[in-house]
Amino acid sequence: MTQILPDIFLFNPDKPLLFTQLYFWIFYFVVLLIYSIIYKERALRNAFLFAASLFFYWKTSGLFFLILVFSTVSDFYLGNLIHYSRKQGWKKFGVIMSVVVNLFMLSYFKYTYLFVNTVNNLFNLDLQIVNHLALWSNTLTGTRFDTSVILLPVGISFYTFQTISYTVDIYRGKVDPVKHILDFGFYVSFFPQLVAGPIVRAAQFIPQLYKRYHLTREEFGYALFMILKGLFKKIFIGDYIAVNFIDRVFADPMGFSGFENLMALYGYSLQVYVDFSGYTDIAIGVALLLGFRLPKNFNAPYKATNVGNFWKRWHISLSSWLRDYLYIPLGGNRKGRVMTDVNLMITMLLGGLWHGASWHFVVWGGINGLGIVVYKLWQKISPYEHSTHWAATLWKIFLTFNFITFTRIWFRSESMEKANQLIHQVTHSFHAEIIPQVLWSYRLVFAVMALGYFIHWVPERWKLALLNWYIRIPIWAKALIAVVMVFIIYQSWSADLQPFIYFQF
Amino acid sequence: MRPFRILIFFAAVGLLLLVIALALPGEGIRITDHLRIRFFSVTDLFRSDDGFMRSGVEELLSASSVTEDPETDPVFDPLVTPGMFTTPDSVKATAADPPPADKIRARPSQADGAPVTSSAAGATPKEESDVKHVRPVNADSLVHAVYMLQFADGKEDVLVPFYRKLDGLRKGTVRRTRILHYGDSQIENDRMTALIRFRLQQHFGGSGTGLVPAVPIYDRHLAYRQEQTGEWQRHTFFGKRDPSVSHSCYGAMAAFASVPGEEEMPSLYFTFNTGRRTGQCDRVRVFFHTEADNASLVFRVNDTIFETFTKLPAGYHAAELNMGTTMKEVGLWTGFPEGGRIYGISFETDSGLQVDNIAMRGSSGLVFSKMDHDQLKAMMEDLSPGLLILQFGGNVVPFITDVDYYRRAFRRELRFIGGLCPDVPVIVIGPSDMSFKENGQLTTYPAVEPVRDALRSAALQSGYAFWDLYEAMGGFNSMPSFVQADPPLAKTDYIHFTPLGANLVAEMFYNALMLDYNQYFNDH
Repeated sequence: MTQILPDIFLFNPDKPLLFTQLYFWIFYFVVLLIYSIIYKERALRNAFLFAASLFFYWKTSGLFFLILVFSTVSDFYLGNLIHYSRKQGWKKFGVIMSVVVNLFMLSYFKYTYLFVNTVNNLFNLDLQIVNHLALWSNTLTGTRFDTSVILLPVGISFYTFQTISYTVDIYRGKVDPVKHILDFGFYVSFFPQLVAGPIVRAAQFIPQLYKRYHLTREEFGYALFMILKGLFKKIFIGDYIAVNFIDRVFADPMGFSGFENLMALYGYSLQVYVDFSGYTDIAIGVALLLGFRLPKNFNAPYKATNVGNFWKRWHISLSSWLRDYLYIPLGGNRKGRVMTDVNLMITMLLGGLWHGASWHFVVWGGINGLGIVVYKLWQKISPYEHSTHWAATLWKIFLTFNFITFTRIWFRSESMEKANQLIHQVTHSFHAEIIPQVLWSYRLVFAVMALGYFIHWVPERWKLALLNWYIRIPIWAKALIAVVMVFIIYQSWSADLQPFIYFQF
Repeated sequence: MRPFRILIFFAAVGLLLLVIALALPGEGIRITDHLRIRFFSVTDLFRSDDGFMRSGVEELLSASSVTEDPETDPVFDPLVTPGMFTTPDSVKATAADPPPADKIRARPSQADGAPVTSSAAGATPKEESDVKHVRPVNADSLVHAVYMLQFADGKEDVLVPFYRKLDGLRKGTVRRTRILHYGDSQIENDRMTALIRFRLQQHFGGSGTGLVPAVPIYDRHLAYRQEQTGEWQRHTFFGKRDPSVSHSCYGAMAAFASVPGEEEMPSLYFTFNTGRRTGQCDRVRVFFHTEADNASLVFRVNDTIFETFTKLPAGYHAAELNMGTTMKEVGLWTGFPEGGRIYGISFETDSGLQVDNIAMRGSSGLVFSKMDHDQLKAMMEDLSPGLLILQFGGNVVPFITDVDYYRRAFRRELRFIGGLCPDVPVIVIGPSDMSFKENGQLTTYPAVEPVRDALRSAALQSGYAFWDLYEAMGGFNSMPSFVQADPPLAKTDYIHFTPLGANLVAEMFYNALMLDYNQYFNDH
């Protein structure tokens, strides 16, 4: 028990405040407790949620919350500079500074290793990384940070893009700057979306800062449903299939047959979806209970009928950000067909790089880009492009899903070498003769995968019916359902590890 | 809907969950043998120690520069010249460490032969004083973590015959020797062996990958590319045995590839990756059996016939091709009138050290005595090993009920191996830490330490050496740290190392071996 207080207030890198940890829900309960007292005072509400978000970030990323504070302060004042300057030159300077500062921060923390390793490999050098931030801190304040390592602050990829959208939208005249720095800090750091998005546009969120709290009973039911749905997707489905099958195969593709590698790939398509969309569902629900609306980030992406359509359903906040702040400024589709494709490829390649600091993410982005380019050519000659026949729709969904799954080879693999190993196993060492053994030995894993895909592909109206039912039932029934769901999810979380199965092949 | 009502809702849900946590028994309710309904207990809420020895793993990692590929490691190998090690006494140990290495060689309690009893009651963490290791901090001598080899009293010199051969390799008085590294799936795909081989070959000479099966387990080998014609089939003595095989002649790899007796000579063709040390060989040896007389074997290099063996009588043979220079490719054509078996092919060098990786998926190591003795002995004589490493135990841990039986059975295997390869020392490596979930929490299998004790006991009682992989990696509940490390050092089955993790522990074994070799070197 004496460990409780330090556990609550001190940063522990082994215990970040993730939605799937009990500590988060205790934190959220305390936030709700204080919120229920002060929520009517708008300024106090925003200031409190800003403070709570900084605490959340401190618990998740330690002293990196100072980076968040820096980003808040710099972009707040740059936003004011852009808006209130009379000279176009200063406005431009402001927006350029904001983009440069944010991208510099992102690059420093995220891409230094990639850059240095690439230069070393290309030019046969032995450049070493020095964490200058840590070095300055040690020199100036006597701290003892490790200067040979640069750690990645949690959520930096999200909040830097968020603040860039703020200053650019001010520059474009789409939004007025936030009046008070605490309000702005709240927008940047709002804890539900800080770690894994959605990337919230200033134009969407800032008006909410000035509105009074309101939540209908329907929205309450919807928020709870999203939280429970997200936890179920993330823990019951995603974590179970990852730990008991997918992670093992991707860690050592050569130790598994081609069939197992292929199943792990399809499993990963499901896992990445339930993981990411599950987390976003919880974020939307948690924010909504506090009276704030976050945008939808996923829309049944594996029901997409082509690659372009997929990217309008998957991580919607990122793809729309890339469209509005990269693709369109590059020229979009306004400079001819060739430049359209070039702009598209640049956007997808950089979009790939955003996902991770490794060249295989760039490859992944590039293949997706090629997929869109090829589809745009194909749709002009496809005999069934405009067909609404169910078989044509099914075929398009099947093709798109398999293409997207194929690209995940480079997204998930731990290195280019392991991506090649996976492909090799599937094409040269498939071992179809052990399929029945594999299916039986990993039956629980495949059952959970089948359940996940079934839930994803059922008609939308079934899901809406379930949602409406949950919204309509009395509050005590909602509570009971919540308890049952937590109970079910815990069974998966505490289930025995799937033992390693020996297949002789 | 006001926030206060939402708060009440959450409080109500939390309260209900708490009531259920208090009402349900901590171990859950068993529905069937395989199905149990679990729920968290109140103490789980306040559990602050997850039992992971993360700091231990970080210490191991910070002391090492291994990567996934030993051949590209930016490695600091202290054994640049023998004698660079100072004696273990002069290695500056940390304050918590036990007495210097030369006093901790033996473990009399185990060496006395007292039976090791299995414990199903859950293993307990080892006391610090039980951990025999040296963690030097002196950067001028050994910077990497070392967990010492263990010997029975009076048997500290058991590895000396091997060290003499290593010395002979350096001086040129010994032409060649080899290490056969046997193990279970933990060493598959050259894991651990690759690093041991590379480091040792750097000092004592030799290159090439050593023994490989004729029918590859993995189609993609870093050292070479293989193509084949004919209907080859792999048969293993371990795992699922083919009932149509009526004999027990499986060779030193406990597996053979059956060669069909086809008119078109079935062939194997190898293209070497000479950019890697494992791909550089100037000598190829084939160990095979032909069912009928008048068999032939042809070696081709660059489409030129270099060596032909004809009119071979039925039975076992070992054929070799010695090129004198590094080969880029080699082909093997077999003319076995009524078929035959290839027990293994060795890609090696005319002089130097070879280290063979012989992984037996699913095996507990109790295979040697069950195979045909004469055939095994003949192949072992041809291989002429200088050292055997036997790394087993992992496959018995989840299921074993009688650990003493395993100790006795393993000791019998060691006795058999001693008869097979007299004067060849053996190092037994025990199992790694292995985790399972107990009430939702990861913990070490209860049988890990008893199985480790059994293997150590069998090894020391047989007069051989033992290396404790379990303690070297951190002991009780250390495996989760390996899995959670970034990048991961072990897979999420909480049993097998990733290639990086395998190299990390292999380096620890290599350091232990070299520290002992260095001690011999200083004494002589």
